Amino acid sequence: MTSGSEANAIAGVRENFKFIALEVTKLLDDTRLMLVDPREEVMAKIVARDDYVDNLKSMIENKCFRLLTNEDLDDATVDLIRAINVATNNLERVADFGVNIVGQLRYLANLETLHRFDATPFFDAIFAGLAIVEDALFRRDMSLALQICRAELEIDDLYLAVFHQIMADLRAGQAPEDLVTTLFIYRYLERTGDALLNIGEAAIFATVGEKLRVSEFQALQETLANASARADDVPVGLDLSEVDYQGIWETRSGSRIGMLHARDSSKRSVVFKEGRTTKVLEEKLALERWEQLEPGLPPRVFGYHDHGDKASLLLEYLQGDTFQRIMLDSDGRVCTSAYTMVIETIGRVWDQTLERTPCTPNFVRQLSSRLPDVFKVHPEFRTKAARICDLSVPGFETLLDAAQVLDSLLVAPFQVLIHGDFNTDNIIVNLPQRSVHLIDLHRSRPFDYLQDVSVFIVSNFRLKIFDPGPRRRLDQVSREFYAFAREFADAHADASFDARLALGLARSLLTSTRFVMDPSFSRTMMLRSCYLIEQLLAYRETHDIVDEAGDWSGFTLDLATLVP
Amino acid sequence: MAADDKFRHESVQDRRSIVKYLQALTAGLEAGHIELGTADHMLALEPDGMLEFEIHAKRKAGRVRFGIKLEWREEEEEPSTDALEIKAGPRA
Repeated sequence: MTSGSEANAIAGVRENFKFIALEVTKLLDDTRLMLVDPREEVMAKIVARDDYVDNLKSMIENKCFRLLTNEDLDDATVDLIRAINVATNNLERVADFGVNIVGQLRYLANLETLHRFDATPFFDAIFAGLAIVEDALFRRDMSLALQICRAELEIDDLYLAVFHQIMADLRAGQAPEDLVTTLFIYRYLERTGDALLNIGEAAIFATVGEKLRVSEFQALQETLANASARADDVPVGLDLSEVDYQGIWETRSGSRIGMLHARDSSKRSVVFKEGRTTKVLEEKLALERWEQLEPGLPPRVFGYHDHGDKASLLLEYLQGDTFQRIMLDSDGRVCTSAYTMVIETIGRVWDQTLERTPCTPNFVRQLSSRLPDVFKVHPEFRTKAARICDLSVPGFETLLDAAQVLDSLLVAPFQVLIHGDFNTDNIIVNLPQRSVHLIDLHRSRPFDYLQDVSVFIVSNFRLKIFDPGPRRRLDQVSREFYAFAREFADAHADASFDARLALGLARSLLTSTRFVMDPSFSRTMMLRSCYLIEQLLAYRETHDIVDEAGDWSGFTLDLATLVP
Repeated sequence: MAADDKFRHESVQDRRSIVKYLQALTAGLEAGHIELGTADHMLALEPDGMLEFEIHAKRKAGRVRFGIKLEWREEEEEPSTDALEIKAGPRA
């Protein structure tokens, strides 16, 4: 299909869409009339219109699907077609709601109860929304799209007021049957608002090309506006009309991360994060703390916007590769150079932030809190106690119960500022500029450095990569990182280093299994974790360690446990 | 170890004579060196590091099967350009 015939085809769809929007509007206007004065002939018109709406919907659907078979369509046109389809479906639902509303009328004993409530403002809001759906969609007009979305808020407020009044009347015992029917009618009007919201969101989708919930969109817009307002020190100055939004992922913690690329290539790209205010704020404070410690190490914060229980951050988009990517894709020489940069950076941070305050990492408690999630994925880990001749082997959960005592016995003699989620893909290395950056710092705090060390090592372990080249690099990095941390421990008289690291590894290995679906590999990790705990418990028993003053210096971590 | 390095030995024994086999294996395991083979082909295993250890038993229709299994990864020996070249002390 040529672009000319494609434009014609879309014009044809637009024609049908104009009619369906008009027909739905008329149907709802008839519905409004019926609520005031139910008449047979109006009812008949509604039924006929509903059939027509159904036909138009099928027609638009057919045209849309036929258009989509054209492989040469650009992304923006595909997005528009998807949005037209969503909007059409929702218009058809609105028509159905109208039919449902008039269907309720026959259950009313008399109209007096219904007429105590005023439906006019509901219909006004709905008509205002319906009047602009075509332009919002086909002109890809963001402000019209947002206006449609706002209609839903207005209708929700109206519904709430009617709902409370009906509840009060019900408590007073007035005509409960008619009140319930009235409630049903208003509930359909409220759902009409929901359908309008879907249409508004579809129009936003057609405009920005990304499925954004309207609240997120507003957050993005406001965050951008705030960032631009402080343009003196910030090279952003982006306006939503000048950027392409690309959603990256929805994180496990429920926050959303996207990237904004300026269409004007001289402006830099930024990362947009939105999530629960407490989390986002935590991250912002951590970023500021790290920035103070070593400017440029974390991404710069360009904007922060708090909107109630959600908040958003606009961050510098860092150039470079994750350290994990480098280990997997680069040769030994490049990997060595990246590794050296990483440990030089971490060494500096540890040196600068070291505080001689003892710190109890509570690895077993951390592990226990993740255990329900682990069992959800791996119920097979709930093993029973076993006996082999004279030998008793505790079941998995019994072993973990026994391990609880270790928390109070294993105390770090000092603390440093840790990353808090020191996976190798949270480290960005810019090789040409020889710079290292850390991202995802929201769990950063002064803590036992072995938390980071164990997470780092296990993030290499848990990659299901067995090609000899990359696997060897991953394993070597883990062993080297162990040696690096060990040296730091020796320099700062950390006698329980190996024992705490063993427990930290046991924790990370086990909690990571919730992301590892492969039954044999997850089992390897779980068994490794049990092995480490068994070693620690055995050492404790033979060395009679009863409190935090106990001497763990004789415990040796077998380096074979660091790698799969 | 080459990919086709294999060894298999079957026999019929009584309880007492099996214990001799197990003792020989236990001694090899303790030393970290288990030699197996025939006159023309010897296989030397060096169990080390983390070994996966499985004991399984099954009784079905009067027939009993009992097995012990060890599994481990061996470091590949050939040098490679893939490896990291970390020489100096890690800390700057």
